[in-house]
Amino acid sequence: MNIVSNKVVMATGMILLVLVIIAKVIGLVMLGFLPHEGIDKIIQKSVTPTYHRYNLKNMIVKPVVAVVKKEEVAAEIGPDGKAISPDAKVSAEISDLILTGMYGTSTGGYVFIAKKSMAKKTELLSVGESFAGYKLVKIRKDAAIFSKGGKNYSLSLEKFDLSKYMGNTKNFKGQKAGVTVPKRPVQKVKKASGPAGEQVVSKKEIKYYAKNFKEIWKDIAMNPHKKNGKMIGFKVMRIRAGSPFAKLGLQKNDIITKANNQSMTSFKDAIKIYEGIDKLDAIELTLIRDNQEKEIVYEIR
Amino acid sequence: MKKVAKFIAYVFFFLAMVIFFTPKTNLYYKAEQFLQNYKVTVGAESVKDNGFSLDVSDSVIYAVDGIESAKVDNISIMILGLYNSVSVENIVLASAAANFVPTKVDHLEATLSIINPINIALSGYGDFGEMFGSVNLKERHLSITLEPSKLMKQRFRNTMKMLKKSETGAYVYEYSF
Repeated sequence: MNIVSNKVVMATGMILLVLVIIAKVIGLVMLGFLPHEGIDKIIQKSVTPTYHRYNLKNMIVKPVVAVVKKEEVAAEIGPDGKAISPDAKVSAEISDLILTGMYGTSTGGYVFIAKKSMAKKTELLSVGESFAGYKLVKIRKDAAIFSKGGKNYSLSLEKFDLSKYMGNTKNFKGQKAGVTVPKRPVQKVKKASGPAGEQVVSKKEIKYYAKNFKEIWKDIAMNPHKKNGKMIGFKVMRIRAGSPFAKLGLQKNDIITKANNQSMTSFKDAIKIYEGIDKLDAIELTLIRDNQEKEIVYEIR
Repeated sequence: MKKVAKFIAYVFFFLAMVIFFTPKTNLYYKAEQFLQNYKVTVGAESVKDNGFSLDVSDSVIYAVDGIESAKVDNISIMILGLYNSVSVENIVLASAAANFVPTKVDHLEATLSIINPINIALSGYGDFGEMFGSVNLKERHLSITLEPSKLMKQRFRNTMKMLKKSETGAYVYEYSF
């Protein structure tokens, strides 16, 4: 009797097992014909500001008109007839260009330049790059030095009266006569109550820097930082104690490698961020401090 | 007779196993592709195969041109052959719809069973009130009866005008496709 019932159970079990295997095979066959990935909506969440052509209305305290230095100095051309060194004296006028702004260090930098005929179409030019046939070779404190055809040319910023652009503002301490800039707002950097590493920055402060590009360099100095000959970010060389940058937690020798997930491997990258900074609600900085990567998030309120 | 019963039992067992082993997640992806033809995208969801049912959580529905139309907490899909249902919980329509209907829908359900294989039964409730209806697959006709809430009657009169008022006082929406 037991043998008979065992046989029935075995037979039923075998049939069920075969059915399970067939069902599994059907499932696997279906799997071969069906898609393995769903369709998802990709939403661009990048907070990197959209690139616009440079508009100096939001930069360097309004348009600056520059003229070529009048004084013409004899060019020093070597005996081999090759171009003179960047440190050599300037020799000729550039009559068709306007220099609208510049930032430079001993090793590099960039200028904002335009043709006089198209004054609003400003280009960003790094040291070593050319514009209208003139190669930018050096940036001095008061002028940019270009070379063309073995000669050096100087293009400097002209003194101008900002009061007509900036309205009723006070003279900044140490500012040249006739040049006025808006009053620096009260610096407010609060420790946030939010997630760790997040701080709050005053929107007013950001707007001030957005409109007064030059003021940034009074508070902080940065140089491009290279690794294996490739620029990886900007190294903080100097930071003014008590400045908003210091209050933000930036320190001397920090290397800023990313801002809002945008790599900072050129001046253009930095400018892209700077250009839209007053429209951002948050800035995330990735920096290297003591050989360790660190992220700081600033909420702009 | 015993053999017939045994055979039917095997058939049911086999169907159950086929349903169990059907790659439901992949089938859902196929359905997504199908919806894409109508420019509807279901995004940001997590899909979980529960053996005999499929749960889709935290999805965002995008309509034509990628416009976010609704956020849905949970969609539960059960396809058993003899009884099939899609149940949707906690729908929040996009703010753009707020001028036409209340944006919060608590529950929607569509059921197709062997008892009534021609009609898909619909039901739901939310801030708009209660609704029930059916889709006649043979005649390709949708009929929805709405018992509107106070909010619906007071603030969405223009939408109510699009519905026909029945003798019983309920509002009816009909559409043929």
